[in-house]
Parts: sequence; C-alpha cells; structure tokens
Amino acid sequence: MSTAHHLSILDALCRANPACDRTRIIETTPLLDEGLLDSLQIVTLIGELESSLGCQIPLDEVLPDNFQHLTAIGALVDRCLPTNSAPSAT
Amino acid sequence: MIAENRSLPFPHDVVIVGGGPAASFTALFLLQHGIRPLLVERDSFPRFHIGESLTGEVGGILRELGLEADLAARQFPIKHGVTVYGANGINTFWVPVMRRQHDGDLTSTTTWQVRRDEFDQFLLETAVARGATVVKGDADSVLREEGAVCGLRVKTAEGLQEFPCRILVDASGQKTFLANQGVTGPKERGSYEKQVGIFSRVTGAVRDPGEAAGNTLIFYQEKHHWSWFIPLSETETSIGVVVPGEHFSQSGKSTEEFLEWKLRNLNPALTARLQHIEFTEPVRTASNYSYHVRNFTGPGFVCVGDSHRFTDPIFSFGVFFSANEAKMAAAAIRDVLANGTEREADPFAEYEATCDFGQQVIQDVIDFFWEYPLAFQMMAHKSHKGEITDCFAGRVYPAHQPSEAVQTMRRMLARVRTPQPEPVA
Repeated sequence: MSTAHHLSILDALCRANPACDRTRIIETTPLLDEGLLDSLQIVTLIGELESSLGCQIPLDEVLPDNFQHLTAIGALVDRCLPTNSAPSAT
Repeated sequence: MIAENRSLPFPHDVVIVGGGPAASFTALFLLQHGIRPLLVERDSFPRFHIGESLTGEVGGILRELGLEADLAARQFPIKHGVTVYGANGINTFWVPVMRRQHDGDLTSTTTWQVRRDEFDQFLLETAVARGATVVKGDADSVLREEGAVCGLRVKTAEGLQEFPCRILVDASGQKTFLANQGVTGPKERGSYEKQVGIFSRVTGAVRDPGEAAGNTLIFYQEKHHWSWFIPLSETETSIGVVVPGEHFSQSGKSTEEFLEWKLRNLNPALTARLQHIEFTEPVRTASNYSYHVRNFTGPGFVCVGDSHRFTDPIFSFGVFFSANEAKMAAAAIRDVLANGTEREADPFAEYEATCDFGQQVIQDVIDFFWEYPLAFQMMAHKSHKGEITDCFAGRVYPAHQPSEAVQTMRRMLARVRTPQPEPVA
C-alpha cells in the first residue's frame, strides 16, 4: 500500500467514524476488535473509499477480514482499483 | 369460543384442516369467490401463539379483506418498521415497512403487531360470520378414492366423523398434517432446524418514543444468536431469544434461567431496555421449526403456509406466507372447482411452483443475512436498497424476482451452501 493510499484510507476511516483518534491508529490496529469500525460504519467507509480513491468494491469483498486493519483495507483497495478489478458482484 | 354450526350441509366442496391464520385467510378468500368452506380446528380459541409481527404486505391483505377498522378498534400496536441492532448495541439499521405504488415508487406504509390469541380468534370468527363453518375436532386421517384425497376423518366429541369434500386444504401449521399422513412428500429438515426459540411476554420493557413505540426491534449477538422485541399492547411486549439448540443444552440452565440470562447478556441495547421487567406469561420454547415438504399439492389436496414450509422467524414472514398463499390457493381452488379438475394428477402445480419460488427467495435473503451480514447491510443501505425493500414489501414472486440483488445473493451463497438435508425421522 502506498503512503498516499494509507493517508487516504485513514482519512476515509476518520470520516466514517469521527471518534477515531488518527494518531493512535497504525497499520495493524485491530479496527473491528477495538470497536473503531462497526458494520454500518463499514458501509460508510466503502462509500468514502470509492469516492476518494476511485475504487469499486464488489459485494464479494465486503467481508470482515478485509476491514480488520489498515493493511487489509489497503490490500482491498489495491485489488479494487480500476486497473486491477476483477468482475464485480454489483 | 368460536360458535360451531351443528347443522352441517354435506358435502362441502372445501374442507380446511386448521383454524389459524392460514386456514382463516384461505376461508376468507374462498368466501370472496362464493365458496363456503368447512374448517376443522382442534384447539379452543383464544389460544397462545407466537409470530406476532406482521409484514407490510399482510397489512395490505388485511385492508383488502376489509378488516382495517376492526384491527384499529383492537388497538394493536402500529408497526412502521424494524430496527436491527448490531452486536455492540449502538450500530443499527432500519428496515421500514414499505409498499410499491401503482407507478412503481416505494412509499412508506404501516402494518400491525398482533396479539395472536386475539388476532387468530378474530380472523376465524370473521370467516364464520361471513359464511364458513367450524367443526371442533382433531383431524385424524384422509379419505381417498382412486389415488385422490376426497375427504377428512375427524375425531370429535361425538366420535369419528367423515367429511367428504372435493378439495382438502392443509392449513394445520407446524403440525404438517398431510405430510404426517404420507399424502405429501416427507417433511425435510430446513437450514435452521437446530435453532431453538425461548420466549415469553413482559411488562416494563422500554420502547422507542412516539410513533416508533410499536416497531419491532431485533438484537443481533453473533451468527444465529439473536433476540426479538415486539410490542403487543400499551404495556406488554413479546420477548424471545433464538440460539443454536446446543448452546441452550450445554448451558445446563432451565428455560426460565436461560431466557433471563440471555436477556442480560445477548446485547447491551436489549439489556438496557429490560431493567425493570416482569414476566406475564410462562416461558415457552420452540425447536425443530425449520423444515419443508415437497409435493405439497396433488389430486384433491393443497397445503398452505407453515403446513409445507417454515424457514426462520427473524424477518416475520410466517403470517405473510400464510396470507399470500391463502389468497393464491383460493384463486386456484376456485378455478379447479369450476373446471372439475380436482382429481387430475397435478391440479395445483402452478400454485405449488409459485409458493416454492417465493419461499425460496425469502430463504435466500435470510441465509444471506446470516452468512454475509456486512454485504447484506451494504445491499440494504447502499447498493440494492430498493430491491431489498421489495423483498420485505412482499415482492417475492416470479413477476418481480429473482432481482439482481437476489441473484447476487444466490451466487455468493452457492460457495457456502451444504448439500440438501436429510428427511426428518
């Protein structure tokens, strides 16, 4: 994941959950286990990622494993950027 | 107590096994077609029953049958929608009661939460008032002639009586009378067969304010662990938890202890609403409730509602299927009687296929909700909002399905589904 992506994802995360303290979140912070991201916030986060990074996240990828931490979200975004995207469930 | 008609005109064209909503709805729609059925009910009404929350589509059917004023007079709580709480008790999603207008636009509507003892009795009494006949008795066995069902043998207070008919309707609910008789295919286990529901009624539960006070609340804990909260009157609320049967049996607790324990720890938002409750009904249980029956129509017989299939109570589709299938069955019966085709091999084939189609759509929606809760929320809130709402608004039959949303669900479910379950012993 590029640094630019990392910052964009962190921004998107903080928009989805304004209670997030970005200074305390590192690549491997367990977002779900620590209650920093719940299911409805994931729906918001997906919208934020799609609009800010231009990716299209298919329903097949809307799985808890892909939102466990920033690294997982970064890998998800990389897979779903237009140049890399697989056929979409949507 | 339902009045019995002792001067029975024989034979009746249609005899219905049961006196619950599937039976009464079938009778009410048959009466609209000028057919006066005979219903056979074992229990004395009113009697306790769960399944109190109605979908918007059922609200529409009740209005179509001219029952809205009666329901309003009974002051059943008005339901505007369902709030589903996530495991943390904070995150929620809202499923409004919606219907499609003639121009296709979705619009808000309402339905009712019903005290089933009163509601079921009211429906049955309405059917009687409109011309149906009720016999109190226990359906014993079917009468057959040349491979076709041609009547019902009933244990009554006077002894065993026979009621010949042209068409026998099984609306016996989870008793699955015709499946037990070997008339239909066998009763097969459904996907939620190992779940157990433990439930009661309470006073003192905290509801949402204003018009939201009558809404259903669902509390999610983890896969296959959830609870319902259904307002039944100004003061009384139906409360139940559904968990895998193994979870209950391994707890070593009585049903009462287990229910109280789960209400305290299943979901923090639920616990917060139940700080000062008092139980007003015994704690009851339901298990082995998920099943389906194949070949549920044939020469001289047809099944309606729970008598051939029940999946899972989470989205309150039980009475929905009873009401819709009753309406479709009544129309099919009218045609079959008019054409004299009731003894043919497959007189209700189209009805059966339509029922299976609609039930399968809802089974797929429920399965998808449990297997892919995040993707379900994504669809309900963002990517397929209208199509998901359609499912909840009752558009589950071939005219509207499978939608793109349901096709997507099926494709994703195909990866995790196990082979077909075995018949129930």
